Amino acid sequence: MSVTAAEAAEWTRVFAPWVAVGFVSVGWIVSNRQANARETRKEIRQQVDRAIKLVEAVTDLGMKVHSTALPVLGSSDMDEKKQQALIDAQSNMRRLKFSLSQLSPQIQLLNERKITSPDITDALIELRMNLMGGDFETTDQKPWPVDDARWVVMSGSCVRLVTCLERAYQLQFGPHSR
Amino acid sequence: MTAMTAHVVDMGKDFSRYPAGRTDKDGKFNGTAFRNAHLIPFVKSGKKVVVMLDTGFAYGSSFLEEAFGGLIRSGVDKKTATSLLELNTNDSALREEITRYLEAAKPVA
Repeated sequence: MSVTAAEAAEWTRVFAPWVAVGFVSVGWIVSNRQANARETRKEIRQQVDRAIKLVEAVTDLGMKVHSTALPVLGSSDMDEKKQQALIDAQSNMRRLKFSLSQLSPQIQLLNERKITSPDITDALIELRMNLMGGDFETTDQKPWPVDDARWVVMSGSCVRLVTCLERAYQLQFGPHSR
Repeated sequence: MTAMTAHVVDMGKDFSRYPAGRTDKDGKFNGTAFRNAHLIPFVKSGKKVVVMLDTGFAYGSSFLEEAFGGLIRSGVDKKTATSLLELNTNDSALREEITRYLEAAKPVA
C-alpha cells in the first residue's frame, strides 16, 4: 500500500497540531516534574538547615549552662543580683532541655524524607548525653573548668551531628546540591 | 500472657510530665524515685514493665541514666532488665539512648 504525496500532506495537516500538542504536554510534564523535585529539595534543605541551626543553638546553650555556677536557692546572702543569676541559669537549663527535645522530632521528619543514616541517631544521642548527662539538673551541678575535656567533647559532638546531617543530605541529592 | 501481667507505667500520668534529676536532693520526680517506685519492685519479681515515655517531656540524660542505668547498679542483671523492660515511645533516639544506659551501667560490687 503506497501513500501518495497528496495523502501524506493531508495526514500532516490533520496530525501535525496533535503532535505539537503532544510535544508541549510531554515538555510540560518533564518541566513540572523537575520543578516539583527542585521544590522538594529546597524544602528538605530548609529542614536540614533548621535542624543544623537548632544543633548549634543547643550547643551554645550548653556552653552557657555548663559555664555558669548555680547560686543556691534560699541561701541567706541571696541578693537581687544572685536571684537574677539563678533565674537566668535555670531558664537556660530549661531552654536547653526543651530545644533538645525539639531536635529529635525534626530529625525524625528528615528520616521520613529519606535524609537518614544510623550515624545521625548516634550523633544525636552523643550530643544529648554530653549536654545533659552527668550532674546535669542535680544539686551537684558545677560549672566545668575552662580546661575541662568535656568542652571539646561537646563541640565535637555538635560538629559530628551537623556533618552527619550534611552528609545524609548530600547522599540523597548529590555532593554539590544546596 | 506476659502482656496481661505487665506493669504499665505512664510517665506523664503515673510519675511526672517533667521528670528531672538523679536523687531526692534534685527534686521529687527524680530518676531514683522513678526507679524505686516503678521499675525495681516489678523487675525484681520477674514482671514485665512497659514504660510509656511519650507523656513525659524533655528528658534529661541524667534522669534517664539514673532511672535505667541505676537498675543495673541496683543488682538487676542486664539480660533480665533488657527482656523485662519495654520502652514505648515514638522517639527512636530516646529508646536507643536508654538502651545504651542499660548496656553501659556496671553492677555495683
